[in-house]
Amino acid sequence: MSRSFPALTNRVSNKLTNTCASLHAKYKLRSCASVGSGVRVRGTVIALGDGEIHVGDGVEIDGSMAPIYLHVLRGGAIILGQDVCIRSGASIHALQRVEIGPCTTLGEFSVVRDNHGHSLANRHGDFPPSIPVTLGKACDIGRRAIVLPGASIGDGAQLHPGVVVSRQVPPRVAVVGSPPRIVPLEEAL
Amino acid sequence: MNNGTSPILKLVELLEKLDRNSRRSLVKLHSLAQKLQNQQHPVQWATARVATHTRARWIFRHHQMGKGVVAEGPIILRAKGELVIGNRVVFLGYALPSVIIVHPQARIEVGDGTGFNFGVLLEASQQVKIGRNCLIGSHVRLADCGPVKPGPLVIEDNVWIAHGAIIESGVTIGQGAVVGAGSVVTKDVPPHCLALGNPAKIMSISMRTRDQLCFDRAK
Repeated sequence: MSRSFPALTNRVSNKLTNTCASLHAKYKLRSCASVGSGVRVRGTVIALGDGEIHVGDGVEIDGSMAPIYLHVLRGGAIILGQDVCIRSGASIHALQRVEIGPCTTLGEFSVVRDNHGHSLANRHGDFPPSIPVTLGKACDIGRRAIVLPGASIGDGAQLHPGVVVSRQVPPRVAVVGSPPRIVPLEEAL
Repeated sequence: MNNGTSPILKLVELLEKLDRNSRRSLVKLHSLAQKLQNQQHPVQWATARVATHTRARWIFRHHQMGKGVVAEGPIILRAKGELVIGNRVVFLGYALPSVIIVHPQARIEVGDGTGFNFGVLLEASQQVKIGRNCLIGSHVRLADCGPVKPGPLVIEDNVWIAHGAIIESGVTIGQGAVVGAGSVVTKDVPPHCLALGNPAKIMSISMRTRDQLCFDRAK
């Protein structure tokens, strides 16, 4: 066999998976309010609730290892910017508004939510008030990181794996440890 | 919306009567009918309800189970020991299956009205005891076979364990306590306290004050 043969099949299969992913995206995200061009979906995406989900151009959603869970209640909105990448098992819960800036990556099993779900004192009652969450441009959310209501993360900030954040994070810093602390990007590397 | 004499309601009543495991009182039946009236898609709701009950009954068929247990998704069950599940226990399963492992001569006890979200791991090599009306979040790990301090794991009534928390073995979590998202609990948590971080620390601010702070920030 010539060496070019596997390369050729690879190229063909890549092309096929890409077209399949975009077709799959059209089917999986049919309940979304708006879907941009070149959106790719692999695996399972569970979009639940009556709210609006806006998906930007070139968004990549990879639910092949574990399903991705987008939950919007009525009156809420999830806004995914251009070229956002969501890895397996990540979930976004919005009661009011979750906005994710362009080129941001959500790591495996990370969670972004704008509502605690239960209030601390009266746990079996109604939802507590929600505080909208914004992630800036080109953020990097690590594996198993949790972004809680009230968090707003600056452009280019990095959340390291397992970090839990509920406050403002300035742009171009790294957040490490638990309880989290902010360090310059160079130190974190 | 449908009125009180719709065929769906009659069907549900009939199913409830057939259901020997959950003989509900008239009050409960009335509340069920009211709930059904408020639903947007009553047919789907009724079928889902029947399906989840049946699934729970099938999964826990070899174990002691109370009335009205619901399993909304698949559960991976490897139980060689004793598993006791109380009334109205809910297992949600939208995204990932929950895993329950009971080793030989071990025991897991779950109290009435406790709710489990998806992706929970429950593992017992000695004893895991969960109280009544607890809320267990998604991706929570409750195992009493850790390497550090092996011993029975006790979770008392009305405890809320948030998403992704890990409870180490030999820990007791007191009544009404809250464990924050992503925290790792290595020591006992006293009743009505909030534990956060890795390793989890007991927070000094009371839960009511924190709720108030949340309200203030939302404004």
